[in-house]
Amino acid sequence: MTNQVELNVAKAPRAPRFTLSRLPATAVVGTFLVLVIAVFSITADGFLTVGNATTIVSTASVIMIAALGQLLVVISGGFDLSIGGMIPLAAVLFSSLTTSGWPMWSALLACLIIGVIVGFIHTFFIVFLKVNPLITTLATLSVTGGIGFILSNGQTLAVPGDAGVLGDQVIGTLPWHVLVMVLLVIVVHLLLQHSIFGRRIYMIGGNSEAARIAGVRVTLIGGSAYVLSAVFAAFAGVVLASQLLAASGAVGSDITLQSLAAVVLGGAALTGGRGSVPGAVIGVLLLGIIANGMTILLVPSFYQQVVSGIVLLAAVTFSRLQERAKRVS
Amino acid sequence: MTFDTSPDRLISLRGIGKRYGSVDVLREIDIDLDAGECLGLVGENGAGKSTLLGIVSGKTPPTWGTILMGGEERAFRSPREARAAGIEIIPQELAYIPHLSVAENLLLANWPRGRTWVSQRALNREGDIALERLGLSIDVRRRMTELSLAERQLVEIAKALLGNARLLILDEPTASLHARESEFLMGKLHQLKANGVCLIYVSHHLDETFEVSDRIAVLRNGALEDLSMTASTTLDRTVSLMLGSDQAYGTGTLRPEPQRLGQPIELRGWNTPTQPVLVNCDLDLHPGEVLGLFGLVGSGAESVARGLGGHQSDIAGSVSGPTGVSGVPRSPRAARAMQVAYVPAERKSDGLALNQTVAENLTVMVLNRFSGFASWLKRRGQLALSKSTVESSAVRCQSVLQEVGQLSGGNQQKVLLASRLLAEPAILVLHEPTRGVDIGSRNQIHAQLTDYARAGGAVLLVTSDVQEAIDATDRLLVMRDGRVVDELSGIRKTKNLALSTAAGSAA
Repeated sequence: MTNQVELNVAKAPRAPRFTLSRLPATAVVGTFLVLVIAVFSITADGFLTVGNATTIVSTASVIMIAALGQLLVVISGGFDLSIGGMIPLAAVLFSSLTTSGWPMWSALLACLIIGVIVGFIHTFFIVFLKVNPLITTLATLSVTGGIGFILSNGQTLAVPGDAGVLGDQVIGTLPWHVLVMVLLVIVVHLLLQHSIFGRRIYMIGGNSEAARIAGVRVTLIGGSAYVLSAVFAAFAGVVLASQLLAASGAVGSDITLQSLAAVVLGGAALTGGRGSVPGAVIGVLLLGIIANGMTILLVPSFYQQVVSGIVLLAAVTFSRLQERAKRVS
Repeated sequence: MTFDTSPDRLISLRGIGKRYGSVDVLREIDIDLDAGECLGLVGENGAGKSTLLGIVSGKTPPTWGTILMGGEERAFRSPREARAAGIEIIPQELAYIPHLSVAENLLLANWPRGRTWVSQRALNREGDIALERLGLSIDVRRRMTELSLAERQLVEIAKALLGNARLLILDEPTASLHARESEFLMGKLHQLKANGVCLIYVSHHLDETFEVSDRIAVLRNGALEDLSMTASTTLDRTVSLMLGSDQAYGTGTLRPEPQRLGQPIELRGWNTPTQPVLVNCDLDLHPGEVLGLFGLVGSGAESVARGLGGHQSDIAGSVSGPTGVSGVPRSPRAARAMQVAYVPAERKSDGLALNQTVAENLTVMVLNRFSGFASWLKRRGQLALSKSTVESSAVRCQSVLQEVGQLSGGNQQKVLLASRLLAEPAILVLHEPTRGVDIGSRNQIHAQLTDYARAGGAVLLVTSDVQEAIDATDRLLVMRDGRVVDELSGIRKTKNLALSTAAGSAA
């Protein structure tokens, strides 16, 4: 902050030169996404089909739902590592409740309530006590993940077929959960861009102390972001269980990093105040398509991990350079 | 000036000068210093004090002149060389390592030679010895963060003396100390003098400078204006010499008498129970006028600003405002409910979200006005208001969607002020509103304050910039030791009187 170069923009108008670094982050990652699709269309047989597109979207929807919550928290200036524990916990809870005869909707509701509780716990520690979000959510990641294993007794549990509405049943060729996911994407986008609550999230992420002094309810808004994130993660866990018709303490535990990676690929800054839903969508799709294309090409999944990591690092480096160009231009 | 060499002569400055570019920031400085004496160095901001200190302590090479020590010419090429010659400087911003112990901090610069491994016990023993030389009883095992600010200052002094300092330069040593802590430090400085250490004492607190120094040097515009025995000069004379005769008694622009509009806002019995920052501070704010509150750092003026803004919650007292009588607001939201808007001193950390747009920052306090169905944001209204505000406040930006961090400091400050004015507060509190702001923006901000007051607002301008305190206010209150000590208006509102009252002269 202190080394920031101050400039008087109006004084010296210059013709803006075109450089790659002046494009919005989403435009660059979007271009890269198109490029990746083009490459796989040529190299991977059966990549460019409606069936495969459905597979990609269907697989990505769980990550997308979780990433929406992550996005809210990251914009507000924190992050949520507990998603990877919340998802298996919700999945396991959903499967045991439905197995023991609960109706699907009640089981879903129960999982969402657990999400609210975890969100309140995060709010208490991070927003009120100002404990570091990294440490707090790392701890709750461990706790929620652990409870998931305890509930499932380390086993893989089955989900009764009639409880798999979200994952199993389709409208046309699209599963229900894809429609729900698209709906959530639209709602969160409107929330962030066109609601007062959303603009407040950006403001507290940009500078929470300045927002507080201006009279913004920083605790309410920051807390809401954490609650929403945990609820989205719980919902993602239910969708995952009804997709697989099974649940275990390990299912979906890698989504913490995937959601974070997707959000950052889409232009969000871990320092807060930046990020968007369209960006996050592009980020999720990019990671999903790379995985899908490489699977078709029969590349072992370990290599996919390596490639995802490199893509993420490249994107973050790029946005860093972009930031610097903005400051000095 | 005599050029004889007394046996106690420690250091002589001969014709020291410094030129930056084509500007002479320092000219023809001749000063002799003896062991065991204390020189008070005073001057306004920009008078050349820092440059002179930099030259003596080896940080800045002089353009002209020489430094003599023990009859030899010395040219320090680095602070390290100056330190080796026994010159130590204690900067205003202390440079210690907060989470290490006192002993570790003391010995950092003078780590026992030739030892890679040092036992904690040996460290503590040497630390104890270092503190004993100053007559301090601080447990060397405590961490620096556990000490009071005065104690940290003293540890830094002890650290400097460990290197066998013969000349100790103190730059604003009491800036962040309370009165009682300052007194303690003063006592220790007298003790150092008695031990033969030579001191250069730089401070805006002239009363302290008078108490501790044997001679006082006044710098103005880079020249040594005066060098006299402390006993034979007065505080008022010193202030006049600092400011220069041309502007000492001028009041800047003569402002027309403001019309007071409606009930005054009364602050009564403001106290900080745990520390003596505010001591029964009372003041009245009148709608229609710009009230200035001037005080040196530590006078409590900043606590009044923060307290009214709901940004400092350890203050007891009452406010009778437009919303009735109540206590000191406990939070920014409570302040807002009392129709107070607060412009904090730290623009970047407390005022603006730098990576958000001009529009978002401008409308942060009034966003709810654009709330439609289901709290849908009426974006068009938000942007229209932002655009008209940017125009009326003459903020220079490419568009209201530009990030505010890309604007110049002056324009950022205009955005911050405009965001508060949009809330149409009954009481507008500003804390150092033009710090680091260019002169054009500064004048414009001052004009905006006057306009707002004339339209019926009560404006409280808290500043430590004496020029601003004179130029931008209708009435000026001077604070010292936690309370208002004088009210200056009309022909009594001069820089001279403001400075000498704030610094504690009997006048």
